[in-house]
Amino acid sequence: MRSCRRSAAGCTSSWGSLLLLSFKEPYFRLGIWLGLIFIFLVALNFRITRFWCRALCPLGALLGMVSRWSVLGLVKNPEHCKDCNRCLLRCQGGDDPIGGVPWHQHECHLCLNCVDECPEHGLRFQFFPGQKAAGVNLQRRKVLTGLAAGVAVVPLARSTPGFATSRHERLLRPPGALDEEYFLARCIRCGTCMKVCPNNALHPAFSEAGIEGLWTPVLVPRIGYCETSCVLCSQVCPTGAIWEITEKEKGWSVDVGRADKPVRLGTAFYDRGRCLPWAMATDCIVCEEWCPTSPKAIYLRPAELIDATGNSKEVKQPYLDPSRCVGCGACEYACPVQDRPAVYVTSIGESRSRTNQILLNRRKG
Amino acid sequence: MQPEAICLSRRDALIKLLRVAGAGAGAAGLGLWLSKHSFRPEPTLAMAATHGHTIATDPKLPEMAVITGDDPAQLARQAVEELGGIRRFIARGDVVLVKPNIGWDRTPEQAANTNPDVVAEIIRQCSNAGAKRVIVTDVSCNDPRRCFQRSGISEAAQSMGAEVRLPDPTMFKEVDLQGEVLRAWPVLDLFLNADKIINIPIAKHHSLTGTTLGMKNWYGMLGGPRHQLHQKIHESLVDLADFVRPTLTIIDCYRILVRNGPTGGNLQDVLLKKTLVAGTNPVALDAYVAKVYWNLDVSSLPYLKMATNRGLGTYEFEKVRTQIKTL
Repeated sequence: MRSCRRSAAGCTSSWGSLLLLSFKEPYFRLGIWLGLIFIFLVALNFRITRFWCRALCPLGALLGMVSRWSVLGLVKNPEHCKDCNRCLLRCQGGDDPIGGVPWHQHECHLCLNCVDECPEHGLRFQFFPGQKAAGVNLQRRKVLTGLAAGVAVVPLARSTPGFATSRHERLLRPPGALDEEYFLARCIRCGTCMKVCPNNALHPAFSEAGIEGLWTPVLVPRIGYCETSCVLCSQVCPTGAIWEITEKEKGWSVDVGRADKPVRLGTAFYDRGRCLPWAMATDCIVCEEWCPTSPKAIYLRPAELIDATGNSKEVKQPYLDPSRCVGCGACEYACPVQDRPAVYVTSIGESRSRTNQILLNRRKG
Repeated sequence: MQPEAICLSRRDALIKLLRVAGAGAGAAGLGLWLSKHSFRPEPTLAMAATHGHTIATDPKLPEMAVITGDDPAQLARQAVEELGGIRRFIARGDVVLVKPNIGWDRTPEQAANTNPDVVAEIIRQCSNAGAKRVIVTDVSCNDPRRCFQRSGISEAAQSMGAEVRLPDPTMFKEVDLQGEVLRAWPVLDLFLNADKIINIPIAKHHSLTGTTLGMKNWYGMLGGPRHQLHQKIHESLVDLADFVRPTLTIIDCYRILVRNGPTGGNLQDVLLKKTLVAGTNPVALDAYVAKVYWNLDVSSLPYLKMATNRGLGTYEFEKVRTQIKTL
């Protein structure tokens, strides 16, 4: 599908300025699985109407529990009821709006189909209805089993080391993200940060963050680097898992070289076995070109090498200074060895974590 | 027991036979057609493109103008005047492509992109000379929308009525650059359809070539794996310069980036020089700026000699007719 372009600051682009599609066509890892799961859930509705809402949704169950205190309720007029069952046929919640049985308030979706459907106008919703509704089915055994299962899941999920001891090296979080335990407590996997990222850099995590971190956003520099001045993800995050930061606080485009504490996502490392000047006696330095810090985190040193034909050659070899690196991933993104870049970013050194650090002088911050 | 005889009239039998024959002929025909259309996929051939957008040299006019002063727009105006006036370069009805450096997500003060006032003035001049269209574009490294916006160039250009075009994946054509190291390469199509091309780079530090000046600015017309060009940076620079051969070059030295180029960022890496170096001899311009501001000789910049040998200009800028003025 060809992508259309958004009119940015009035610039024209070939397909005009009336746009619905994004500037660059985005792609998302795990997209096919998420899509299939979504289609499956929607398809369940062919089996039973509103299957998700009635059988699976935990929020629905919770709302059902508190619905007993709802001020809005169904009032049945038994004198009008002719037992035609039309209300039951169109009921979405399966809450028995028919006459002669109590109404299951906790199952009702307030779709109001029953009110529409009744030919005798025998049903209405009103505030403070006065008619007693059926309570939630809280059989003790089921409740206790449910509670026990819920309680057991949490330590089970946390039994892997990922959470406390060893952070996955590729768990690069968006700029402004809180430290992992707070992040996971807040992230609702809405995906808005992934949608808004201009470089298509954020993707749903699969194994990097453990089972608790499934589908939380992870930066994948091979697909997109973190754009220097951009703080969009922090602006759109609805829960503050990515705490809102300003460009100045990020410190990669404003106050470059003077910011005490730029936001750091990780640190870049060289694979000298794949890097052109290190392994192949060939000039490159694209990583150093792209590095946005000033002074640059990547610095070059000349080296006298003998190439494959036996000729002496001088090339410039890149090195990384971890005290300057912000982990944006631009180097990994730009590296010409595209299939497995010769420079890559891992999470150590990220500013949001006190413990995931290399340098001694970072601990005071 | 004998099987029942099937009663089939002669007519029915013939019709059945014809149907089978027809199906067989159809299948055979389809098979033949498919086999003719089944061939090993070959990559599409790169198209040839006309290149070179220079105007005739005039022995009475300088080939290089170095203007120093306070107002960038006035510097641009004066530089063009010294070189013979805008009508020497732009004819009525021309489609003009103005190529500033809009590579990075930086403000004008950070000196990673061309000064927007200089770009605006050149656009204004082109419009006054009767250009049919003035297009401003660059294939940015960072997100193009941010680069065009933050550099101030998008706003400045639009205020002068230019068409500001953001680069797009659909706008690239595979072109045979006919160079020594560069052959088929994706080029932004706007560069292929222009009558005149004006190069407005900014002078910056660069770790591989020492500086990035006029000829390196042509990287911004390429798509594809540009990051491979660094392996043969000098040869590829010359190939690109040979392909474009711009009408006019104006090197923005109003602010220069002396360290941590080409991205910069720290204001302490910027020096205010308040100068524009313009001209029709791109090699001389690059040699001049490299020597004056970075004290780099031709020996440190092999591409200058290579370009001279290819007839793109001369690295001996002292021998070029130069007009130096302070406003």
